[in-house]
Amino acid sequence: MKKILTGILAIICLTHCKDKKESALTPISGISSRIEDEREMHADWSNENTVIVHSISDPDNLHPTNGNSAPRSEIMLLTQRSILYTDFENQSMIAGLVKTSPVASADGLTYIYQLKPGPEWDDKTPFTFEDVLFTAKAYLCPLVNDPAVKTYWRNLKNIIQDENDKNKFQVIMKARNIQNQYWFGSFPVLQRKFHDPGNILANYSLEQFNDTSFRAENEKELSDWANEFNSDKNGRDPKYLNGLGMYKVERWESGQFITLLKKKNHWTENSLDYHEHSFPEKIIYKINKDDNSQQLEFKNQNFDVTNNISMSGFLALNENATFKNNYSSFVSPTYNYTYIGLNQRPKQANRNPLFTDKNTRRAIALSISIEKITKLIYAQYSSQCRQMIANVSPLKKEFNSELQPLKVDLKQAAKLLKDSKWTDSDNDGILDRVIDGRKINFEADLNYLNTSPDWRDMALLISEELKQIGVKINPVPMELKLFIERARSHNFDMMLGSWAAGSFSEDFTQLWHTSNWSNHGSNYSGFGNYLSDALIDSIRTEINMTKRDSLSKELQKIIYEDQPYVFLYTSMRRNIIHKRFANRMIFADRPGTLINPLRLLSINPVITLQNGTTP
Amino acid sequence: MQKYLLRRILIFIPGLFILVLLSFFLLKNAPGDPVDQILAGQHPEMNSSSPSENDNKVRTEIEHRLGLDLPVFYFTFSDKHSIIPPVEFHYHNQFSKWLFGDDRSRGIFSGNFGNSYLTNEPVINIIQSKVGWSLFFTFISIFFAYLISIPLGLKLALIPGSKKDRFYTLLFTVLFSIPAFWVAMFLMFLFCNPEMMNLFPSSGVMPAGGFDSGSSATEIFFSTLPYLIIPTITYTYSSFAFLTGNVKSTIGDILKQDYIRTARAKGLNEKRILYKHALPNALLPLITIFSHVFPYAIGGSVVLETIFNIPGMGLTIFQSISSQDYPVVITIFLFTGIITMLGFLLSDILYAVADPRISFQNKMK
Repeated sequence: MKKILTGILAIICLTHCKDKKESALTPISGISSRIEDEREMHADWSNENTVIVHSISDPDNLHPTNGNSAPRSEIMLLTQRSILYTDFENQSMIAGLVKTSPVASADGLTYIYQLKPGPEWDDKTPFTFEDVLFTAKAYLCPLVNDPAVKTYWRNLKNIIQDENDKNKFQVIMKARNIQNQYWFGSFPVLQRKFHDPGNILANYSLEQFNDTSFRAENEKELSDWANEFNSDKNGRDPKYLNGLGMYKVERWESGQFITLLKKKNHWTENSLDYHEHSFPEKIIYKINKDDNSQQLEFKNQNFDVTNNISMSGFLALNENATFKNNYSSFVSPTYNYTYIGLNQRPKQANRNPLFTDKNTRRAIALSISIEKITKLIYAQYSSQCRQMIANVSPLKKEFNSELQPLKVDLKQAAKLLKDSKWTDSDNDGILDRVIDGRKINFEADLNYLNTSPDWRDMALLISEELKQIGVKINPVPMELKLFIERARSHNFDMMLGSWAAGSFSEDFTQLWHTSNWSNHGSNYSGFGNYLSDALIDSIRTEINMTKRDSLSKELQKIIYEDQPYVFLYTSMRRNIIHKRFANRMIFADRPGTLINPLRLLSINPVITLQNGTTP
Repeated sequence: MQKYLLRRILIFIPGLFILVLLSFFLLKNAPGDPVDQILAGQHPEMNSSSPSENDNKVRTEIEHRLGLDLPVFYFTFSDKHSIIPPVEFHYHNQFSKWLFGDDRSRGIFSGNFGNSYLTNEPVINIIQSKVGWSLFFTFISIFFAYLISIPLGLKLALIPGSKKDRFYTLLFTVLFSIPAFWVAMFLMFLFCNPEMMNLFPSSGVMPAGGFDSGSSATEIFFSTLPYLIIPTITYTYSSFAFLTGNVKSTIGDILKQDYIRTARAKGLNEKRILYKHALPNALLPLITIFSHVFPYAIGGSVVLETIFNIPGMGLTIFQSISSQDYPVVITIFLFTGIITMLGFLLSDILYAVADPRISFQNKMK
């Protein structure tokens, strides 16, 4: 009993006697950063060349084509290879399994690739054009369950091998699209011999798979192959998880961990490219969903890497001296952003027309302090947050830097509201306006996700902010599915959400094209008209990057002026990496950290210079 | 006995059918769409550059592949002019597909429960890999709870109103009132913390990376044991507090009965009175409680499984319901129904064992 009481007292002391010193973290502001190595290993650091990565969930599967989850993509970077890679440091695609990046034809429809010598599968057979063609057919086959990516592949017309050089081939597209330059290279390649030993797909052409009248389900051979290919074992059983990557899945214990082992004598062994390094002998993705348990795991040095920790957990750990001795922790920018969607076409869902005019939407944007929101979410790291100005992250090359961030200006907001005929005619503290002969109070529901207390705190802060200008906000917590359903059916006044994005040139169709408002897609607010649609179509089909960027900036300006969203801030990633590893890099792009270049200090100590080079 | 069992099973089948059909309707009418989940992956932040999200063609394809474009369940009244028009059931619907299968899948009557929409893993594999841990923690905690609570309850029943009794009653009330998640976190911070007592691992049910291939059963057992202690205590404590109180009050009531007074008057010793006369009669409520454990056993605990990172059924059910993974949810409902029925059957049998006055003949009347 005494012991228990002592324990309780100790816990109370621990939770209240925090180290008041603010942690001195190196701010990371760019798209990538290399972390300075420690000079020596501490006695209590593990010498095991195994990286334990914290993950919050299992991948949906590890099937080469049929899957769609963040943990899956992260593991695929280690177990699979693609024709082109994302160069995380330079926001671009670079040659992976090919000699150089593809050269586009003048019409932007034909791309020439040349395979580089060297890459070979686990059975030591070389990677060839046959595998490339098989990969395309597998993705495009109507019976393969890859709906999330099939849309990309539907723009592929044909792949033709060069008559004189068997490693050279042309990829021919149906329509011009900015993504033509890199989409083909960004998918894992498949080994024909492994996935189609009977060479069934050789009997079918890409033209057939593109033909809508082709009845694939009537082809027994093809159906049998597809059933086998789609089967769960190809996404879960380590024996059937085949790839060109440096690591192989050794074991998958659902809900517990996934173990990857470094392949012996792999073709990437002498590569100088950090994307192809494989310093850790073993990588374990260990699953842990609970905040408190995660903190204990870090205190026990049971994890080496994470970027899946909550802000509260991150802050708590950074107040612990033992943790700081063992780990480097960083807050780094991402391309994801948070926004408040404003319904500018509410008639369809019979909602009040509160945000139908531009001035009102701008007034809302001028009344919300983004600084207060970021302080609320990121505490002392809020200064590293970037304000979103329009729909493109300030980290991107195509970002329109001429646009001025909106600062809180309640006077200007009040003037704009007055111009829009919003007045407090009944002196009840809430603005009102007569629309179609009916008096409407400026009272809006703000839908937000109930998945985290952060959303709730933000919604409450926003409602407090808008109260100052006479706008009454009712925060409405919602479960994710209902939230999306309301957004898609345009049944909302305001919604607090976030979008995930990557480093590549964005296709604005999904979020901003009017067709995606009418078909209940992701244009939730109802932004756009035929002019913005034409601009979006031009951006999608323009392959000259200079021209494309200028068009993109034009669209950003239109969106900035229209304010379909109140653009808030770019999300920050919380990264923690153990100091026992050198070669630590942080990127804005997903997954945020690469595991394969991490090098145990005791095995191969190399002093990294400040500029990231090694002597 | 056999007649009784058969009757119980026959009554249960339509109940099970209605349960499954009802859950089908509830899920279908819940907000959201599993197709959204399939396209968006498992991330709350959706991708802003994913053409598939808005591709109606893709959505239609997924719906067709999963059979979600079919009606859930339907029947018609044929137009024959009679007082009670004949009902005609139709088979081209989701419910029939699940029961009997179609050209692309076999139904549950062929032993195939389908695949998860989200992971494409066979449902039966998902359940097999998760149910073991839920059953283990439920039954081990029930075992310990009964093991401690029966003797303790008996002991306290013999000293009603004493200081010791009042103290324990208060303690059990407090224990029973504390939420399990709080106890879980308290124990974790106390026993899995390098700054306190670092005696046990804080999460999971086995070491990261598993065991070496050459490990013996004994080595595996002793490597796994530390992972199980704190979760077992957490699972056990509330049911132990509840059961002890229950045993104490039941025995307390029985000890006031006339036949106990008679037994004492006859000069029987207190131990014999307690174990031979009072305890068997006190077992009936405990059996009732035991029969209710079965649905919990398969259901697991979402909160405790999250805190301790136990790969059990609780989280699986929660995730399947929130992502409308119909095949998984319906199968779990089906199994839960069957297990519940088995629990009730078992409790009936145990009633008869505990109290010979209860017979199956009486139950059938």
